[in-house]
Amino acid sequence: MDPVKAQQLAAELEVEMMADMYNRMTNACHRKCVPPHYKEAELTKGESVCLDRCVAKYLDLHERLGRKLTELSVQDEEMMRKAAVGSG
Amino acid sequence: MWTLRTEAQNSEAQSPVTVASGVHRKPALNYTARRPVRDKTGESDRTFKEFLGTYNKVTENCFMDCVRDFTTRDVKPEESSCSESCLQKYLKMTQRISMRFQEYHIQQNEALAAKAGLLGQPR
Repeated sequence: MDPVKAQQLAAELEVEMMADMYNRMTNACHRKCVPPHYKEAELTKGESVCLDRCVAKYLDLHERLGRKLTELSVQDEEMMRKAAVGSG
Repeated sequence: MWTLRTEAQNSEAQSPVTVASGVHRKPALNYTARRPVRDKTGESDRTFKEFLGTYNKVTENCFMDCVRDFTTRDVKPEESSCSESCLQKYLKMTQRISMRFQEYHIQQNEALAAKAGLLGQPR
């Protein structure tokens, strides 16, 4: 594939991935931090602090898992390559 | 099937058959009034689509959490006030999350820029 097009595609996929991640994070932190009581319209102090921490943790975890995943897929590829060379 | 009914028809007693087949209600959102002008990037269309998505999500969410009594068709006052609180809370929550998310990325970019700056410095 043309490298410019490949870069464009990669950028588009990243934007899509970010949007998806943002939606999932919102959903997750909502479930974790806001109990479904709704006695009042304001966020309580506890809920606000929880949300801040939730966002930080989610993004941190997202990064860690991304790195780990890359590591594992590189290892995987290496193994496959060795297997292919071995059998060839 | 959805059918268009006049105000007069709507105010009459509804037979179980018509109710079961669905009554067309005026939508709560005036889609034509809010619909943005099509632009070249399509960004306003995307924003509008996002808005509609949020609308659906918050409706489902607040319905699941607030509406519990199905012995009647009418929305009870406590269910109504619960949903209104739910909506406002949800919007405040999404605003806060958005703020923190942006802050995080600004921090990341600054860290990257600092790293790049350090690497770029002549020895």
